[in-house]
Amino acid sequence: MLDAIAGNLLKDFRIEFRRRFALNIALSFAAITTLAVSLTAGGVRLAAQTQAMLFWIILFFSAMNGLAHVFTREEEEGTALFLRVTSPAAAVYTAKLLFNIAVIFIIAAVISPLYAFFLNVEVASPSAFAAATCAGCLAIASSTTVLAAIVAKAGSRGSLFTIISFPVVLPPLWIAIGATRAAIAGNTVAEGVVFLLAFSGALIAVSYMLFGHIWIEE
Amino acid sequence: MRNSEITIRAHSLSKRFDRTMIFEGVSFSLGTGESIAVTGPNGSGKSTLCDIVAGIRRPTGGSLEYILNGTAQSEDGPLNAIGIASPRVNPYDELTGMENVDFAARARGVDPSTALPLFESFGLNRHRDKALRHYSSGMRQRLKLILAVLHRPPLLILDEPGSNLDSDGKRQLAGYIESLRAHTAIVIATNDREDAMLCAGAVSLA
Amino acid sequence: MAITRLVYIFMPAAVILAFCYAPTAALLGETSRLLYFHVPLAWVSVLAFAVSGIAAIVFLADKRGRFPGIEDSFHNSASLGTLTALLATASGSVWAKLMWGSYWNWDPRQTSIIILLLIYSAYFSLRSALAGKPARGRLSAAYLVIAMTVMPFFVFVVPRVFLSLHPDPVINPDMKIHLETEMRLALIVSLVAFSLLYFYLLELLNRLSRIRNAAEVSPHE
Repeated sequence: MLDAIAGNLLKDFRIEFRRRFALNIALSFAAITTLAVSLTAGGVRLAAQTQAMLFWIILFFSAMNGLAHVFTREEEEGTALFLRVTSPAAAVYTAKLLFNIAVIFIIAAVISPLYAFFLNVEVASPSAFAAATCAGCLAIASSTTVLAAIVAKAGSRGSLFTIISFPVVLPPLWIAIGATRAAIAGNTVAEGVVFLLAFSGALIAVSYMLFGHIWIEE
Repeated sequence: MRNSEITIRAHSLSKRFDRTMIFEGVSFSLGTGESIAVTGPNGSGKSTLCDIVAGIRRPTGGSLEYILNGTAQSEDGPLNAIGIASPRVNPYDELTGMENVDFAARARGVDPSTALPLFESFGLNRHRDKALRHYSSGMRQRLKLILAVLHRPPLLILDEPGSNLDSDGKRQLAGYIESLRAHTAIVIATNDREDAMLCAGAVSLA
Repeated sequence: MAITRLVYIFMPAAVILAFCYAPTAALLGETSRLLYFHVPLAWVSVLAFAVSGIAAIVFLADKRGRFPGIEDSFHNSASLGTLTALLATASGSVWAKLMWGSYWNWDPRQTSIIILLLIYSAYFSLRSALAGKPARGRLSAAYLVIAMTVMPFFVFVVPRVFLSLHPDPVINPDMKIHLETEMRLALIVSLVAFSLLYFYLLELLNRLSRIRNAAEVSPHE
């Protein structure tokens, strides 16, 4: 099983590295929205709450641009059945989940410094900020990977992924915004991080149970 | 998986897509060392039947049993006991032939080096490290066949195996199937008489 | 189920009790009669969500096809849930305008019902994207199950993010209803009536789906 997961991950990274299409788009989108926010703000210093909110809105929409691709690529290029006959469903889901976690971490790693730089955000507690960001990203990736599989089967129409992800991602977004605001102000974020981890755990568990049903062809 | 004995029993399988009944009441039984050809006009559900036997799709009605070395397997089909080559099962374009094989081998828990002689016997050795994007359709078909037999599955399903193959390729395929016959159960879906001749039994769909 | 026909008795009773029997509440005046329709509608929208979630789980777990109509059941229940959630939101915001001065206040219960509507609309978007695909039932059922998993987290988060305006005397944190006996009776009768109405309509819709399916499969073409 571990071998199958490793094989799947290696394959996904190889393909993504050769095309760089999805990640490039997601990163460009992230950079552009960050710039758009800072330019339209016109140099005005924003309140911590607003900064936290905008940060997560940018992260959420950038993630929506990148995370569905792992599954839609398989359906669009007709490789989904090849994947299905070679790998156990659990291995496929695990590999895609790990891949998406990596993607959203890369997006966050690009956005965070850009955002702090252009919007003059002074984070009082950088370690708390990092913890809140990582936990929030984990929660987004773990709740939307299974939705990406659903969207891929639906023919990946436009913004369907964003539409069906938003209600699911809303609770971790709220908590992550609160935690990020606390981190900017230099307060503790422990409670928020615990919530985000618990949320990720619950969604991953349910995803494992559902994935077999989503992955099979009719 | 070598030397595994498999028996497949299909009992009145049917498949309906939305409102259209593709086929009904298909029954057959197949064991190691046996082979059947699935024939029928276009749209009669040959490919769908292949997918169902491969465990990719679920039948609308009827039942399918896999008995591997005397023990009944789960309904969805024992992944590693089945090999399928089909126009709908496509390897990755961005990867080279060898990388595709490497992926499939790892996913199935087999040593990728077992594939080297297969590249030889399907005449694909020269193109092993070329990305699939640059493959011709015949080369692609050869790779699909390699990927299907890579893990020595006791049940081999070939949907239109001869498509896009030149006469050399067809001969290599026929020779390879001959060498597998004794320890493999084979299903071939085809309308090509030559391919169908490779099989002892037949299921024809109306 | 013949028991759902009791709606023919309970619904008129609920209307009569709400308008003629129950007294008006001290502060709210005649508008308090909205209570007997707004609260049951909100309750049914949650009940319908729970029913469709559970039916979706049964549908996914049911490999042998023991519950043939269940695929339509969870969808029909979600449709009824959307309708009642919309009606509850409308009746609630009219009441909110009268009581708090504006139609929308981001009170936790208003927020919750908006989230419910958001989930329902996402569900229907997914359904329409899947139109004509054989996997439609399975995929939309899976989505409902995921949405249901997220619900407890909303219950935890929403009160922390939004402050409550809803009258504590009606439903307060220890979940006891502090109403006069007559009002309580009217409310309970109304809750029963609306629950019965929901199950009655669900049965009708399920029957309609069965007929439609039978018509589609029959060899007319």
